Order: sequence, then C-alpha cells, then structure tokens
Amino acid sequence: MTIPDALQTYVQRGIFKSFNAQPDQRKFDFVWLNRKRMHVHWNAGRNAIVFKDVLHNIPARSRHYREVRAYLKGRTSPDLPAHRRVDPDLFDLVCENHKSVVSVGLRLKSGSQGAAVRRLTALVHELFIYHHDRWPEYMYENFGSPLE
Amino acid sequence: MSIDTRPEEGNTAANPSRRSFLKFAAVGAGAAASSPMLAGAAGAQEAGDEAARLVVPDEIANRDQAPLPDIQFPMTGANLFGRACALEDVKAMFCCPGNYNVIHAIADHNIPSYSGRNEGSMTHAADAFVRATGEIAIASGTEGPGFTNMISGIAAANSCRTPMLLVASNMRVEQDDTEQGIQVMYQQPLTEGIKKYGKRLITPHRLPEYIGYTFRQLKTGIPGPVHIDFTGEVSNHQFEGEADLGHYGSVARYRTDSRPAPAAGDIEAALRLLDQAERPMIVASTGVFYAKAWDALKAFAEKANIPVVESGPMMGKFPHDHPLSAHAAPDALASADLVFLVGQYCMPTVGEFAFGPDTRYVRIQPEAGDMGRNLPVDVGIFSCEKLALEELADRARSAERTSWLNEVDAARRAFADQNQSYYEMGRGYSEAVHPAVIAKELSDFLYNGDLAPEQTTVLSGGFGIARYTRRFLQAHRPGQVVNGAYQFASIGPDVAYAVGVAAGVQLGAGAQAAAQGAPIVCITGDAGFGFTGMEIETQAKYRLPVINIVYNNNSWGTWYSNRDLPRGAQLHLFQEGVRYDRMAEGLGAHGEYVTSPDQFLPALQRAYDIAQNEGLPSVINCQAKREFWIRDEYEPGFLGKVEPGVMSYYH
Repeated sequence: MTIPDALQTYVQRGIFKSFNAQPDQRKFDFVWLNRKRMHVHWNAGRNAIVFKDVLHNIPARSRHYREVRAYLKGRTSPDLPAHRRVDPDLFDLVCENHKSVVSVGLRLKSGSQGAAVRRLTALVHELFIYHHDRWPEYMYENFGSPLE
Repeated sequence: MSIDTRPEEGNTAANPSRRSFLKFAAVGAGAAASSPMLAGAAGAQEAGDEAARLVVPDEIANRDQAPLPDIQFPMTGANLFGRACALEDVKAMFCCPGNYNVIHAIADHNIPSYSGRNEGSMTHAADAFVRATGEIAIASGTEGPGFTNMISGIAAANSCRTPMLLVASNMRVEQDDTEQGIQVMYQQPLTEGIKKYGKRLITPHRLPEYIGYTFRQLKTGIPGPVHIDFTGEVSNHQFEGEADLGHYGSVARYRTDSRPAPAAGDIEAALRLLDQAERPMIVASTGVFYAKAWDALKAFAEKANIPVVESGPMMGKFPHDHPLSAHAAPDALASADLVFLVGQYCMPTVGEFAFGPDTRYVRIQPEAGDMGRNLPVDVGIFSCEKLALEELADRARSAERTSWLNEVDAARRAFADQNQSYYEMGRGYSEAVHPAVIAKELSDFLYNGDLAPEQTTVLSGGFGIARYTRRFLQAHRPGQVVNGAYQFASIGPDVAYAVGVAAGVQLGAGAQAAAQGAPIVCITGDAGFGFTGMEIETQAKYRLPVINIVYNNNSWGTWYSNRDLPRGAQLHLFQEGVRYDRMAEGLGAHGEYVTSPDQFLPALQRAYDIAQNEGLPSVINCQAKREFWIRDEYEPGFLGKVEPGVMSYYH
C-alpha cells in the first residue's frame, strides 16, 4: 500500500475529513484531531513521512519540548506491546523543532509505506492524548480544548 | 463552633475541641434515613451548644407521618397530574415554593418532596437524584424568576440525558401579552435546545393527553428532560370522573414498556468484527444505566473476555474491582482495535476518546437517529442496550485474550503507580492540603478501610480537585459515583447535586437500594461552593448525611492560567482563608477546618461518624493553595485527563 492509499483508508472511514492531496502526491492535508487541519509530507528522497508543523508554540529549549522528545523516545521501548511500538528496526523517529513549531515523522528503514502511515497516525494520536493528560493548559491555549 | 484542627490551637485528632452538632440520640444510618422525626425540636433542646439553637420544625421532621388527603373525583388538574406521577412511580420532587397547586398535589400523593433555597439548586438536585437512582424525579419552580433560575439545571440535565421532569407554573392564558400583575412570560422558547420535549399546557381538558406525552418521552428511547408549564386554567380545571380522561387514565393504554430488540443481522455483523478483533473493549455508558443492563453487560464481557471501561454521568455499571475492568487503565485504551459503545448518548468527536485511529466501532443505542453522529460507526445496533447485550452474551464465542488482558492489567498497575507517586509528592507539601492527599486518603477511607467498598455513594464534583479525586474514586455498584459537572461542565451545582444524591440514598430509591441510609460524600471546590453552598441548610433540615469536602484554594480554578495578567488576575481570586466550615455550622451542619495534610483523615473520620450516627451533614474545609496548580513549583501541578474511564468528565 502506498502512502496516498494508506491515508485514503482514514478518509474512507471518516477519521480524516476535508482531505486534499497535491497532484504530485507528496503533500496532503486534512482535518483531524481537535478539528484542526493537519499537513502530511512524503519525502521520497529521505524516505520519510512527516506530520509537518503539528504542534506550535513549544520552544526548543523548554521543559515541554524535552518531555515531548522523551515521550516520543519512549514509544520505541521494547517494553511496549508490538501494536503500540515504533520498532527501530523498521523506522527511525523524526522530531524536529523549527522556531518553536514541532514536526513528527518516521523515516522508513525496512518498514512498508502502509505500515509507516498507520504507525505514524497512531503515534500522533497518542501524542495528542499525552498532551490532554499532561499539558491540558497547552491544549486549551493552542487547540481550543476546554480547560474545565 | 468549628473543629479547628490547627496544632497551634491545641487540637488533636484524638481530642477535638468540641463537637458543634446537635446531640441527638444515637441513630444508625438506616434509622436516620427512615426516621426524620428524630431531628425534631425536642432533639434540639437536648443540645447545649450554639448550633443547637437551630430547630427543625416538626412539619419537616415528621413529614412522613403526616396524614395523606383522600383525593377523589372531582379533582383539579393539579391533583390529576399528582395522581399520574404516583401511578408512573415518580420517586421524588425537588422544588422551591411556587407552582403551589402542583407541588402540593405531588406531595399529597405521597411522593417524597424536598424544598431548598433556590429553584436552580433544586433542579440540579432532581437531576442528580435521577442520575444516582435511575428513577424519575421532578423539579418544580414558580413562574417568572423561579423558572428562569431553573434553566441552567435543565441544560445540565439535557447534556446528561437525564429523564427529569421539570414543571413550572405559568400564570393564566388569559393574561398572555398583558403584563398584568407580574411574571408573565413564555417559558418554552427559553428551553429550546435543552430539553427532549416540552409543552405549555393551555387546553384544560387535554391535560390527560399531555400526561401521556410526558411519560412516553421520559420512559422511551434516549432519555432527556421534559419541561411542562402549567397555566392556571389547566392546574385549576375540574375533572369530574375517569370518563374525562379517556384512555389516558390507564398507563398501559397510553404507553408501552416494550423495547426495541436488535436485528439478527446486526448482531451477526458485530460478532464477525469481534471474531476478527484481538483487543476488543466495551464502553459502558449512560444507556447501560437507564436500561438496567449491568447484568447483561457482565455476562457478555465475561463470556467473551472483553475489558470494560466506563463513561457517562454516573459510574458503576461495571464494577471497578472486576478483573475485566479497564476503568483505571488509561494507557490500554489506545490499543483497542474494536470498541463496543453501549449507550454512549453523549458521543465524543474523533480524537476525544483515546481509542486509536484504526479502531472499529460497534454502537448500541435505542434510537437510530443518533447513530453515526460524531464518530463513524462500523456496525450500528438499534436496540435497547439490555436486549442487545443479552443477545451478544448468548451468541458470542468464548475467547482467552491472555495477552490483551495482561496488557490491560499492566496499564492498570502503571496508573496506580502514577497515582501513588502523585500522593507521595502531595504528602510532601506540608504548608497546605494538596489535592492528591485528599484524593488518596479519601479513597483509602472509602474502599480500603472499615467500610464496605460498595457502601458509599460519591458526588464527584469540583474543578481542579476533580482532576485528582476522579483518579482514585471507585464504583462497585451502579450509581455509586455520580459525575457532577459532566458534559455541560457547570461549576457550582455540587452541593445541590449532593442533596439529590443523598435523598436517593436516604430513600433507597432504584440503584441506591443497597446503600439506603448510608452517608454520602460530596467533593467540591471553593468556587463551586459559592453557587449552591446555601443548600447545606437543605441537607441539614432533611438530615441528609452528606460529607461535603471543599477544596479551598482561595481562587477560581481559572486563576492559574490567567495569573500573569496585570489587571485580569484579580478577577480569579477570593479572600484567603474563607471559613466555609463556619458558614456550614451556621446552617446546622458540622464543620471542620483542615490546614495540613495530617489533619485530613481524622477530620474525615469525625465527619463520617457524625453522618452515620446522627444523620447530619458536614463541611470539611480543606485549606489548599492556588499555587499547587503550577507544575514548576509544585509537581505534578494541574492535571489533564484521558477519556473514557476513571478520568471521564465530558462524555
């Protein structure tokens, strides 16, 4: 399954809404978590799929960003069940912070494109759940989640 | 007088200063519940302290012994309505004076009736009564401001899908548009969008017909509040005999208890998904409670080895100490590959529940019109929850799921470890009472001490404090925990909610039968207490044994996210050290002021003893500090949440 095909499965199931794909099938955007538009880039040269600029207002030298990186690194732990784990033999985790805007992705090693989309989509979902739990005020200020 | 346990004043847990409550003859919890007469004026005379000057009038204390009028035809519309409420087994009414014909008719038909200090509070009380018991209750208010006070309560009940009956008087039709006298207004437009059904009754002889509409709406489908406003022409109309009622004189002729059964094909489709799933989970929500489907739920879960997590405005549809409970295992949620959403009327949107993007959903509910809203559905089962679960339990294949159950168990242990670490942090802050101390020690008191774990019903409210207490609360039977604010997120009804919950427990109504007469616990904050704190007087006068725990951090919960605003921060603050305990004493309750962590548990024990032995409410004023929400100063700070499960709040 290709990257576009894998993303389409979420569109068909009603998880992603208002889906757009650029003609070169390298950039995609859709409405998903917290009803926000999200941007996925497929870099064939780097063999990487990235949720681009998915979290804003997290300074690179902040405690928040350190904890986000630690959380993501924890998702590669061999202690996690296989269905929850980012297997380092299959993928490298990508987490980049450019001017306090964070992108999260996977670089494919031996994993398939379809598996990469499923793994990364689940990972971003879990990253949001982690924020609802650990950083509620951030979700309130940046994603409009209720603080009550 | 308050029991002020601050060490510098020489008080210790073992030797409190003095008790400032009415010293009635010792009465057990059950006796307190069934014998409000024990709280009469004579009892007050036995007490020698300041608070004993409060006298409960005999009319309240002996209300259950007062004679019932013999109401026969010809009867007024109000009495006909009261008769119908009794025939429909309405369990309680909460009101303030007003709508006189109707509330007196309801009381005269032997429906337990409570009056409080504000119509809004009493509407919240009725809502909570229903959520705790599963039985129908009435909220009543007078026309005009009495009714408008009730609007927030009906909105909250609507978000909870509470089958509550709101009745209000509404002058006379002949006064419409005149502004003759006072309080002339149209009510129904003001409850548009926050009720299941509503009607202004204007045609007197059609009252029986609208009694039918009222109870059909309350007792079928996805529940919700019903708002009926009575014009004077209707409540005063004379009905001469049964012949005036037509077929509406008989419950069996104007509605049915028949329930929609699941289609065989839908059950088969759901079971096919179950056979393919490796990590299924059941979300037991509102509909499981109102359909009384907990036995069928347990049978299905146990046969197919499916973990169960709860959501909704009340907890306990599945016991939290059951090996299959995933209620306190939030990290397992994202692993579920198939979820049965059972009676999840308040449906989250994509991403609000922690289930992952690849999760498939089977949705079970008694109205098809709501199926597919917000979350995509893979199989929809239009059915009464109980009938569908019974069918699934009959036809599901047994399965081991060892790996999945181990994963859930590991998540449960990880969550417990995290909570323990929060408690140890909180215990280390000695200058005030940290919320983790309240949460953990309350939990140990209720579930790991001398009390039977299933005994105590809890109204789980508050704002920041709730983020901690929810993590530690348990429900071992249906309705044992009522989720106060829930979807409408009202901050403030908690003390009023506790009136309704305690009344349900006092009466042993519906799901609270096994707990009849036991003390209950109400958790709230200082901001919330400000809205409905006067209902402590209602708790006291009806001898409702409520232990109200007030988390007092001198501020609204909103302070910490606005604390840096130069002009705005003060808008989120109160005076420091407000003595809610002393206020409670003035209203006839027992008060405790707790200022350090080691004082909390002894105060809780004293309050519980008073509730159990004397049927009196208490306020435990826990002095915290607002800076506890700032993580950089006081780890772990303000907590977030993961839904569904023990932290469920919105859905």
